Amino acid sequence: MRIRALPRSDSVSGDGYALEARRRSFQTVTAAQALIRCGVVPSKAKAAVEALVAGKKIYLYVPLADQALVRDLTKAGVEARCHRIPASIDVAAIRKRFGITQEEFATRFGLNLATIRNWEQRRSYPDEAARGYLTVIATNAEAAEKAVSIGEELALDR
Amino acid sequence: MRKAHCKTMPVHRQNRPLGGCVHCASCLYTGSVWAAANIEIVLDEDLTDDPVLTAEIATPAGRLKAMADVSLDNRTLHLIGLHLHGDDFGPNEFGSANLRRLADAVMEKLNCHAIIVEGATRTSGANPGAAPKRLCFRRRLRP
Repeated sequence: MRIRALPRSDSVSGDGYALEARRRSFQTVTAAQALIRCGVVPSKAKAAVEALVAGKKIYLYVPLADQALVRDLTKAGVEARCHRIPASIDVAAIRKRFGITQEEFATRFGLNLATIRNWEQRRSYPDEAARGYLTVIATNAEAAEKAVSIGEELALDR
Repeated sequence: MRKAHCKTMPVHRQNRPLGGCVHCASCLYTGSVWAAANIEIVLDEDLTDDPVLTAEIATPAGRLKAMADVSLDNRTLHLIGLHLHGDDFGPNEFGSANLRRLADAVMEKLNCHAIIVEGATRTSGANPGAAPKRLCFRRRLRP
């Protein structure tokens, strides 16, 4: 019996992934090894593949995510999608895509007009939550608009 | 199509003691008992003290990958939530006879009396998705 060191990812940053089995009988151990290689604790990797066997879609943070992870998981029969908020975002480009003014953009998506101006003039930068919201606006404006119109229902009771 | 057990095997066994049946090239049945020397277990070191281990096992019938929560208690190897699949063959091709041979060889290699497998979910074969009952392999004495 030999013991070998599992090759480790040389990545230094983590990412969230949505994982889903493409077919029921995927290669469970190969998928778990790919996750372990990227810093997921073995028992957590095992629990993840067992959830996939049960037909669930799971969301997992991978501490040392690298390019090879998606390739290895795909080879094992698991579809992996990286869930990452972009590190920077071009607010003016998103707005211009809709062909509307800063004021209309702010009103349509429930944002502060001064904040939009600051972002576009690079006086300040959207934080991670704001970048996430702007990504939703860029990819599914109807959903963002609908969320703003009913968002009041989610307010905390005072 | 691969066969789990070729009926002509005894005729050809002496020519290929571990390499499978020559009569039907895709047959995985080897017709012989596997000894500890016939298998090689490579455990993955993941730099944690997590009880879940992954391993690759080279057998005369092909390479397997295994993962389980492993514990050794009084020379009984407990494999909780075992996952086992082949690298170069598909679902159901390894077969229960080869599984028994593998268990015998592993028990000989690790010098344990029994292997207990429990809590694993089937991904292929009969009733995929269901957890089969506890499996217990006991070491048989060889003459």
